[in-house]
Amino acid sequence: MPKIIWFFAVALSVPVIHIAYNYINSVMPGQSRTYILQPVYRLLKLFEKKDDGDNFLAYFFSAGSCLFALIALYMAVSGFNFLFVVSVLSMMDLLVITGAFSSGEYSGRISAKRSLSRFVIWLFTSMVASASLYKAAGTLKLNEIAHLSWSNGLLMNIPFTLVSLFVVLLMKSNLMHFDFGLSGDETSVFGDALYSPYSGWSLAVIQLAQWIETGVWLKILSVFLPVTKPISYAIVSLLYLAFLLLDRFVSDVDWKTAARLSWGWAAGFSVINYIYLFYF
Amino acid sequence: MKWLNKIRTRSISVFVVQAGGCRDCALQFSMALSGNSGIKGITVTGNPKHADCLLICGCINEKSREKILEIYEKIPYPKAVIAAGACTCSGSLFRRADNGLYTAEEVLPVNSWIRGCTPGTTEMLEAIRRAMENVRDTGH
Repeated sequence: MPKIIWFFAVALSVPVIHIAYNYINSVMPGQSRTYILQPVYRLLKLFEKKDDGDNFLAYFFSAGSCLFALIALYMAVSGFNFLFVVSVLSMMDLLVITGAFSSGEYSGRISAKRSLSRFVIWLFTSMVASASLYKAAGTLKLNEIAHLSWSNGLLMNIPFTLVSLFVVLLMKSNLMHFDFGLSGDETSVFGDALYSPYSGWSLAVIQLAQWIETGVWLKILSVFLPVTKPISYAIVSLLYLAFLLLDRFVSDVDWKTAARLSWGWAAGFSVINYIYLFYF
Repeated sequence: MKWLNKIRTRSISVFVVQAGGCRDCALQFSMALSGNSGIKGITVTGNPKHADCLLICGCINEKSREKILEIYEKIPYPKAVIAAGACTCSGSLFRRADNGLYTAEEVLPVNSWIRGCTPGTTEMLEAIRRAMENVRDTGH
């Protein structure tokens, strides 16, 4: 029963974070005035809009990615093996990338190329992080890791791994200097807007999948904090909200710089922790 | 459906195209968004696939016409086209220019015109909201 409660709580928490972000952002001077529930209105509106032509592949890949995101969420709240969750998330990411490649559009292919480089970085980070975790905790099961964090202060051994996984969350949410420009919302030269094959219904499903995926990463990060589960999840969520707001004040970087920084902060930090655990 | 119409007008993503000219209409639109007009729910997007309506500013020439048509195709239905400013609506000062000038109506089916040089901020937001309210009725 608690699994089901956690499942829905995590699935709903990310839209709530985005609603809070939208509200805070709209009351700031110089910003567009928006409704409190604007993210939800946007999602409902996208479901109502029509995709270009008979875009079956876009429907297929978006629905598939959302399904994998839901499976990953269930596995994360049930305390499954960390690598299992990562493998399901990688399937989700691969479906989105394949969908972008299959569009046959120039911008879709560019978007897929950037996604692929991000995919390699976060997968490498996760694998090195799992090696460090196994060395420090002797297990990769998330519920056992949560227990060890509470009883043995696991965080003392893997501080850099936690930072690297948080950077993965930032990469996946297109925030700060880890934004690969995949959302296609970046300001661009006239006519050069980056878009993917996803629009209308399929875009709404992709949006849902992305929210669920963010919830999965928040849940994974929360198991490392030495406090009770709800409190640690609330702390990580608040931190995520803070970075969402901070992102408004950080200048954009081009995607290659974002990739370089991601290698340094995500992959680099996880490798540092791995070396520390094995040699010191 | 009434509730669907309401939702559509509560989250409007606008793709702004500066087709040519002085760029004052586009700047005026940016000011309109950050002002206190009381009209909420309008945001700007840089991605045509995320957009609901196309706001054309400035005078349309041969080059920008092609781009505008390309962007219009990428916006999913239901969508609206709004012509902002005297240049877009009628050519204004550049009416007799020799680089193939078009009015917005000659390029796309326009849902709403905002005349004036430069149009008022509230008028811009009001026109976008009304265009999105009626977009289903007009069939665009």
